[in-house]
Amino acid sequence: MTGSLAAKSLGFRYPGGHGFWDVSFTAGAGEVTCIYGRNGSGKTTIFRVLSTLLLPQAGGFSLAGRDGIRNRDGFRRLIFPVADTSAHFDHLSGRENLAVFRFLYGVQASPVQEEVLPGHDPDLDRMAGAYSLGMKRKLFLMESFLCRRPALIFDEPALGLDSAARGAFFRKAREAADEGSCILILTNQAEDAIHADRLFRLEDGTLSPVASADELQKGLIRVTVTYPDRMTTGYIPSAGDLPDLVRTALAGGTIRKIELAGAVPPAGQEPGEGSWWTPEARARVAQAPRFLRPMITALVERHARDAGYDRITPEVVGEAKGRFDRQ
Amino acid sequence: MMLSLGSAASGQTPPRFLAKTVLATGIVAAAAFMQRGGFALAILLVVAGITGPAVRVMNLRTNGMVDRLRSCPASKPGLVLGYAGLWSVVTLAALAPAIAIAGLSSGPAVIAPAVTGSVLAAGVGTLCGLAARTLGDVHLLAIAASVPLVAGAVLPGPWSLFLPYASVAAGTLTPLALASQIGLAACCLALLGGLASRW
Repeated sequence: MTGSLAAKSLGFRYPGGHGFWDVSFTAGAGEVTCIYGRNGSGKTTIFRVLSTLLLPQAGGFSLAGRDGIRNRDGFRRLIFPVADTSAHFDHLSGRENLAVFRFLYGVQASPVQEEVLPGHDPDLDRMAGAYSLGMKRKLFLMESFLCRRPALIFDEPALGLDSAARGAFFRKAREAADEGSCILILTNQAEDAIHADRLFRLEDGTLSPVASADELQKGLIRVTVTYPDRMTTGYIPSAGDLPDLVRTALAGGTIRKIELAGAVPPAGQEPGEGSWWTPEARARVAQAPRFLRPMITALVERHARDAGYDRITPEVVGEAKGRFDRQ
Repeated sequence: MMLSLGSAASGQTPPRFLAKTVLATGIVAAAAFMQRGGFALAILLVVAGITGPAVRVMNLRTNGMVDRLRSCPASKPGLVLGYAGLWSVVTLAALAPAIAIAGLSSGPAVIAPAVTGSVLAAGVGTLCGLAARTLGDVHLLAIAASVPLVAGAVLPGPWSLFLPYASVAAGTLTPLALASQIGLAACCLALLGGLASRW
């Protein structure tokens, strides 16, 4: 069975006011739909409502004609939600976990069960409790694809995955969509948006359609991290999100360089060069570790531009540092 | 598959299970030496029967597994009652040598209420695990539920008719008491199933 997942005027607010309101969208069968939102924008609450774990306070949602509120059991038969926590029975092996969930979802054993994310499947004979975060995530994703539901709902699916496994996941999601499944991905990674056929942005609990991944990424800062053997690109909404990104990047290996795009010097000046910078300011930035210099340069230029300075002095560098430290 | 499901739900590993069995057997054997085998077994049934499922439910809730199970298509009353039933089997199996020793010292009348008592304890434990909000709460709730049951087992009164632990401690059982105890355990499971059907 295939069908579109449709939400109409959906709303849920926690007592403190967090949540979302008047959210309407359709995630079509055979499509990958992506809802992008910052941390705390309400993605996980939407996920919990669509997973039938929370009863919405307004509106409704359905899949292939089955109402998610009035016919909850029927709706549950059509979905496989993948939450942002990779819960497994830790003292069972990966294979036993797969068997338990296949049994719970009424799915017969599949001969190709071990080739779900080719080249990236975890060691299924090890205890799930001994898995790393990324391995647990892969096992959860395997379960979702093996249980073959008409709709797969993912909350931060690539959490903890390396870039190769991330690519394998999006390829598999595309395959599942091509076979007629409805794929809904809720993510805070703007780079995931390029895999979507239909795209939405969730901001302060309100959902709005976005025409393309380019449009989504336009208002964001592109950050390129260069490692000795690879280069990754991410997007952050503001410079305040940089410390988190740097922390995550440092966990990925030795960094050669972190570059920020989007800082624009005054007309006629090149970023990081020219008479915009005083030699003293440049000397102050040179005190930082080499791999951080491009990022600091971009941050200082961004601050100078925002504050309307036409020359970057050591004081401006100090101000930018203070602003960054506060954030 | 059933073995995997059982192990998955109870979280029991062979060493843990064995440790529980050895400890319970030792305690009941020592108590039986002082003619208090039934009394020790009653306390063990309450304490081990309630805390095990209660803490395991809380662990499953905190790691997100309960949410996974709630959103899967399997019957929720079936899952919860299966969980409680499985825990009563685990408790009975772990305490089987202890029950045998108590049966030898206090008489075979302890066996049937021990079975009913393990079902009731598993039901109460599961309810405690679902009602608590934190792991700290679940321990408090388990203690709060255990104390009146242990007190009811030791102090004779009208409740002795309904409490299987009272029959285990006393080593006596009437048909009416057995029927009442089965009724109480069934009510507890019905409450559990009713709560789960709202998930």
